[in-house]
Amino acid sequence: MPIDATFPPALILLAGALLLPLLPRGFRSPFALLVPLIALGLVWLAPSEGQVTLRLMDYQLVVYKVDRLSRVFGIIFALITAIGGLFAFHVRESAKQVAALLYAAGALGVTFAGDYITLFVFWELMSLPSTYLIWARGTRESEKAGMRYLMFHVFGGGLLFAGILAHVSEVRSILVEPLAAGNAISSWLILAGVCLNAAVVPLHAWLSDAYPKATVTGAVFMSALTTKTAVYVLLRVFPGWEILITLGVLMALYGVVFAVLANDIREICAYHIISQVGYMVTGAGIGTEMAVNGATAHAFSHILYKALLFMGAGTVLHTTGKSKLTELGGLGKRQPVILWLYMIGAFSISGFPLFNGFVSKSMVIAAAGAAHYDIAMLLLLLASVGTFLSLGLKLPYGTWFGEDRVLSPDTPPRNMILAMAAAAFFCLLHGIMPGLLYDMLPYKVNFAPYTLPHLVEASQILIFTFVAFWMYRSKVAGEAGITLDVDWFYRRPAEWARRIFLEDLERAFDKVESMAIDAVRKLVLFGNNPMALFSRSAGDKGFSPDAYRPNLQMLIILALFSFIVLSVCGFFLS
Amino acid sequence: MNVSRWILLGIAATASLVGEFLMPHDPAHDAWWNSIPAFFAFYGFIGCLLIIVFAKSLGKLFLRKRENYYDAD
Repeated sequence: MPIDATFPPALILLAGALLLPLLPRGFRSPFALLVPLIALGLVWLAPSEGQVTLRLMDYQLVVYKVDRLSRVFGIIFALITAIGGLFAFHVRESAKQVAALLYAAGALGVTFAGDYITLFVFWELMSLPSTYLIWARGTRESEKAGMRYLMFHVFGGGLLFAGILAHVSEVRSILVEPLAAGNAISSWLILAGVCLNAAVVPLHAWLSDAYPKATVTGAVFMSALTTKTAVYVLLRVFPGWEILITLGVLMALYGVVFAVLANDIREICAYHIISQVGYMVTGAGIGTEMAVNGATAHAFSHILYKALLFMGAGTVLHTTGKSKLTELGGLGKRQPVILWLYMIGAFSISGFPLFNGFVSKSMVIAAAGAAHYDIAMLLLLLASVGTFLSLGLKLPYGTWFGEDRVLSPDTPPRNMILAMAAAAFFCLLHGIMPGLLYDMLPYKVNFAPYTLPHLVEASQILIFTFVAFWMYRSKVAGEAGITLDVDWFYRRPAEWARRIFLEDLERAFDKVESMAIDAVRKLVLFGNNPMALFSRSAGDKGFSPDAYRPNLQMLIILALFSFIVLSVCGFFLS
Repeated sequence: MNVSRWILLGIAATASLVGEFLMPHDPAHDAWWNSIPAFFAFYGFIGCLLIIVFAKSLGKLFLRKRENYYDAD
């Protein structure tokens, strides 16, 4: 008898998050690992087309709806939460563990939401726990970046909510269904809200700003959940919106260019999330069965190798306390295991044959070719050159090879290495046996990744990218400093606004206040001594009748004397 | 990089260049660049240089700033 597993996995994670702080300290880490595994089991066993509905006032909510697309995203979200839980096994702060579980509950809730109200509730559930994972780093930088991140997502949530309200009032249905490309303002609002979470350029700056400043373990969950949940919604609601092709290709190249400039290793990884999500957004924009399959497969692969890359970079930060290329170098001899596990992620994202990036990325690119988007296809191939350049060459060269900066890294906790090994295992598994991945995809797959032309194409690109890198490796090395991004448009004006509305205004008030006090002081003096009006020497002294008495006496004497003189003269003259 | 690794890389490069002529291109994939020999070798090489030069010049022009650029905020 098949097990009836029609139960929303998001609720398991929510319940787990609430229970976790009540457990004895020693049980919390295993529990944070066990809960996502239960959720994974539930998603795995969930019957196709299973659904759970709930009545809320006049609305029939579909809080849980399974189909092939939501199942594959559900599987990877639950799997990566488990791997992340293993990576964070040594973490003792229960708040971090609760935040990770709540965050994953949000992602799984969105994935299986059949109506917009449920979707929105879970969508918003993701933003606060993920913000906490940034704040938990505890630095002043992370506090500021977390606040910017939160404000960005509150704004995006607002766009999404406005769009949902308008949409529901237009079509009188709350069900999540594909929207036709058109002029409906509601659709565009929903699209904007979703694109913000997918880090579509130019709404992406929160990602490259906040991810490098998050906690070592938190960044692993973040790299997997927020953007890929948005990709899922794009695939579900906006397939075939052509504007997404342009935006996706732009993202793919934008991330690559900024990663070349970045100096922080987790910032390089963060920019490559934007770049890789660009492939998926392009896939959603093409919207054919092959493209949706490709984008889904790429999301699955990407979550695994990107988490692996973030774990690798995070382990370097955890063991050395450093994350800047200008401060790292020569760690390879001291961290061979971390280096090679990281390199599995790097080979995967670069699309090396036998790694999972190869079997999924080539599918998106081939879908672009099959739909005759030749330029998009070429530009996506160019982006993959940049991916290999930054993550496959520049980052490992600067961190584990290159100039030896004589660092003595600590030994990382064993669970970190195990988690990396688990992610690396899946990267290789799907690279060697792509059928395992392809069988999960929403549509039937007619695509063979391992053909001679594909292999030739990939190996020529990779080998000659390497040659170009080797010739100019000194030019690509990290440089101290930061890179401006579109965050400049709100971080700099924020400074100006603060200067104008706080500092300058305060200064103006001070000025008026001191002028008023000064005026009053002068008026008081003047009231005390009106003589000050006539004589400067009267100065600041208060009025004293004695000061003027001798003069006054003299004046009266003079007047009297003149009077006497006049009278005497008059007497004699008359 | 030691000599043996360069030799391995050379073999791989030759194989990838020769491999191109062993099998016709996938018709579903047919595009103008398939008729240019070693197109992707050039694309990888030139593309890599292009990305480096483009990014670095943007950085020099106005994107790269000192570490405490936003510190006042």
